[in-house]
Amino acid sequence: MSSHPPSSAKFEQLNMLRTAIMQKQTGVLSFTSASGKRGMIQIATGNIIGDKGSIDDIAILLSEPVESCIWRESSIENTEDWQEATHAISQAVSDTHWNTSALLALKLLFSKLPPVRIRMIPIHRYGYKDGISYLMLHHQSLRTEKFTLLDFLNETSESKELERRIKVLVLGYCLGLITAIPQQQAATKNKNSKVGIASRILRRIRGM
Amino acid sequence: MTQKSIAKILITGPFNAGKTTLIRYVSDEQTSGKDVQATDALAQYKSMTTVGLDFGILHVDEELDVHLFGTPGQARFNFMWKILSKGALGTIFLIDSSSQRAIDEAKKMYQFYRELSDMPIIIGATKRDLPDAKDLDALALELDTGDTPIIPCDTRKPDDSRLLVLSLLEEIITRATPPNEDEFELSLD
Repeated sequence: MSSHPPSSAKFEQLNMLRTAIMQKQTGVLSFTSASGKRGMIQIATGNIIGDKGSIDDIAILLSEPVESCIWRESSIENTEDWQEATHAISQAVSDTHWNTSALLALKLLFSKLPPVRIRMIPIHRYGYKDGISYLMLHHQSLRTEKFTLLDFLNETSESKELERRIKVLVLGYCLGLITAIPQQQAATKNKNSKVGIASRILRRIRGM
Repeated sequence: MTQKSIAKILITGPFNAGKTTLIRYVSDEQTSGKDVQATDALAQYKSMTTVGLDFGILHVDEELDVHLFGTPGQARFNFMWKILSKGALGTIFLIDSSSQRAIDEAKKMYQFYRELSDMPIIIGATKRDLPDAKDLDALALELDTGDTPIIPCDTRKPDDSRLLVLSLLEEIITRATPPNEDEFELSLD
């Protein structure tokens, strides 16, 4: 068991990675994990620089809480060898495992997020091995208007299944596929806009 | 009396993919195209096939109806695809993933729709329970679908049919609204 109880475990690296990828930033993410492992990940316009070694570093970054994690914007000299973030994160998450304490900490963190929307992309094409769990998350999110990750996580207490679910959440969160439900002002202001119409049909089909 | 607005959703894909069935499960009223005996080379795959088009109406509320148009799947009716897609909110593209012949047809048809407009498309892969069903990776590769989602589904199950339409609607909304990132991050307090 980790020495970090869930309430104090720090996973700020997830927020930093997500921001760098979503905002297509360029810079270096340096970290020291709770167990003392050090590493750095170079990111250029939201893509991951490097090859297999970078994926291993991301897997280490994701696998436990961090002691410290710093994002420094800077130019990257050699950007020839790079991978799409979707590809790199998918592969890294596939190979990541957490101990019970880290799993519970992540469960707690994700459970606190407000209602979310899940973007569907063919994640299996990027090397993610458990497309079924992602599909399940996506389908579940469609069924209700205010879907929370707590709903998704509370469905299981079995640790292997919990890990599968946490994996797709880490993946979706870091890649920006899990987002807050937008303030659908357009929909409420103009119910005949495309968004307004789609929202009305969505509600109707959910009620079938 | 207020005139109702009409929204349009297209259900397309090669023959024998489940278009008629899907429309049945998301409509309040359905008018099916005439089912006739397949006479050409398709007869070995399907005894009856839809000629003309399938049409379903979903009453959303007092001011809005959705018209669901199922295009005929046979390539000789391709002149109708463009006409039917005009003004559609989005398209559900169904493929019988167990039939190589259907997949070959789907390649041309999918490219046709991609080039026609940038309207949202969701691909539903049906007949996953059959032994020859292609896996989703292979299907994506053959069709060159890029980031268009391929969702496995059994249109005979009402829930699967509805989830496919919900996926399309969510895609339409997501494309049109930027994510709301205000105060959305894992709280580390």
